[in-house]
Amino acid sequence: MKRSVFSLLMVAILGSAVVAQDGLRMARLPESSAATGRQSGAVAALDRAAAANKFAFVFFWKEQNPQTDRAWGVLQAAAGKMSDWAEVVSVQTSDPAEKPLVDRFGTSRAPMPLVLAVAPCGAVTKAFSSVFDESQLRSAFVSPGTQLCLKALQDRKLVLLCVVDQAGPNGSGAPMAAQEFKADQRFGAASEIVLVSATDEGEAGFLKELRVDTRAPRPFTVLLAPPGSVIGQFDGRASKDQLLAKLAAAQSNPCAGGACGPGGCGPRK
Amino acid sequence: MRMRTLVWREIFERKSQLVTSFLAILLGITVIVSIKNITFYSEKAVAREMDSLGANILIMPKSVTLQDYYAADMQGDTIPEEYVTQLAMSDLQGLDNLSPKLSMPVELQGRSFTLTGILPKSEFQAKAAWAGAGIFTRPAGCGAMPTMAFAGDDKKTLVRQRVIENLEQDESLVGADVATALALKEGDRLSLLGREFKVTALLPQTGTIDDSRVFAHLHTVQELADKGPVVSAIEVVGCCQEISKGLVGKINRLLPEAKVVTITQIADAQIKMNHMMSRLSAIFLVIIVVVGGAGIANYMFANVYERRREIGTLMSLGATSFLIQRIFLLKALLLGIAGGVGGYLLGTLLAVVLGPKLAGVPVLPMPVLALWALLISTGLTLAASFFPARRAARLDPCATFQEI
Repeated sequence: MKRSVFSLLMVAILGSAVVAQDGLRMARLPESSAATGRQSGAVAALDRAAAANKFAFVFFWKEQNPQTDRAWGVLQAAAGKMSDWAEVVSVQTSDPAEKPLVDRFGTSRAPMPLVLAVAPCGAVTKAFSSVFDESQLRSAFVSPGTQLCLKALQDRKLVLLCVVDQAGPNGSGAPMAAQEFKADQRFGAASEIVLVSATDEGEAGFLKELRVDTRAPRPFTVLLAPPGSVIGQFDGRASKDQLLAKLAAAQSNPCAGGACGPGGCGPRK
Repeated sequence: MRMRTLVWREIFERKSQLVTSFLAILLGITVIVSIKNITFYSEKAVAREMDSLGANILIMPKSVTLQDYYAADMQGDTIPEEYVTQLAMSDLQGLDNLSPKLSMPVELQGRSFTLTGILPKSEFQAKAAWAGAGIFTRPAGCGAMPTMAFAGDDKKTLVRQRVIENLEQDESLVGADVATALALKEGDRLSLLGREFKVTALLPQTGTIDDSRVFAHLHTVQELADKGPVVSAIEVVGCCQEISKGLVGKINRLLPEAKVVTITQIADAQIKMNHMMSRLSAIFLVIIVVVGGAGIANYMFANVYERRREIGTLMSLGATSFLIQRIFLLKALLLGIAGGVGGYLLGTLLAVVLGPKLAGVPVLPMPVLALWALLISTGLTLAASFFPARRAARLDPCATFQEI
């Protein structure tokens, strides 16, 4: 009697272990390129997502551990509901085949696991470290105007965000000052014009976040500098020189002359 | 007999008491001048440091205790470099300028210097933009300047702004003392621990430990130190307003395994010492007034009493009360001038010699203190001698002759 109970108990324990193993296997990360001998598919997956005008959630991880498994599980579950708008790409940072992607995003020394939401244009719209949920992942889907601005800023370029009534092709419709600024050889390569239609509901949230006065007569230009500073807002009558003057003022050290010292805004004695 | 002769003879009438009184004034003035001199330059150094670093925060290993801000990374303990990404990615405002550092000692031509790895802003600035659209709500300014790819990168601003925009893996920036000692100039090649570096810039003199550093890319120094992805300290050129809103506490919650301090906390010990020295100089002033003044008054009264016959003789020969008073007051004035000048010179010498040892700052003579020393010493001697001199002037010649 005792032996049969013991045997049943052993079967139950072994059986539950098999079930648990299956459960873990479902949540397991894809095998790394090093393990399978395949070339990295992460770059190709990223390109496919961009071509399909989808976002990509790039999951960077270093080693398989409970934290990594948990984050991967959350990402998989959430991404399953967002498959029309986003793909999931897994990248093991210690895999030599993944070095190009790791170097591209500079994640070799980032806390792991790390999820980067990459827009079709290549801009990183959001980053999540370890703990996140579906609603946070959804917040990574930003408007096209936001994507283009972030891309340029992440490339360390100035952004001339031109709010117009109707966005024309190739930057037409942008205020003259912005066009002249872009045409200037000194700044042309280091600046981008992003046209946003004032009537586009999708961009309303973005403009609100910039604290732009959308009631101002259009077109007007908002000058942004990396990593995301709003330098100023200029109406259609502004000249290129006014933009340059504002930029020069913003580049002066705000803590010069004791502004951050005891007589300024710094700690008091 | 002239006034000058009378006063001169009067001064040396009682030499031992004269010397005692003179020493009391001399030592008192010496102490006050030296304390004031050292305190002035110490306060100036603290104010200068707070002026340029006032809104700065240091993130270091918990085990570190810190006395000198500029040597924050000169200790062996480290923290993970991933803290930099955590800070850059966080939604904390005011963290636009980060400067992670890792230092190690190196020997060059028989001399010891420090090789410091720094991470250029370009390598983590993009991560700040990973906050997504939320980055647009961060305040402009706050110690951070918008930086663009076309903007010229003057690497020499490292010592002033504490951060650098770009730095290649084989580039180096050389501190003023290192450049002088090794006769380096821009464009030279420098070999460190078997690695070749190009000297991209020679940094200006700062008077801090940075003058004896060679700066290189953080990841290069990590390879040379064989320490992995770690840093000794992360300097945050902070936002004044955000610091007052509790940025230090927020960073503490984000990085509970690290120690977070502000320049004020580091300078606190120095500020407290300066306040203590100021109070000490005030106490000494009181002592010198009370003790020194009493001593001089006692000396003068004794002097008047002992010289009453001579005073009576002078008055009977036609000297006026005013003349008698003048003799004693002039004597006091000369004593005060001698004590003031001597005290200023000795105090200044002590401050210049001991100041760097006590306060760690260079101390220079302050001519304005000579004026104060003279005013205090002569004021004291004249005030202490006023009543004795008046008593001498009111002596009755007949009464003094009756004692003979």
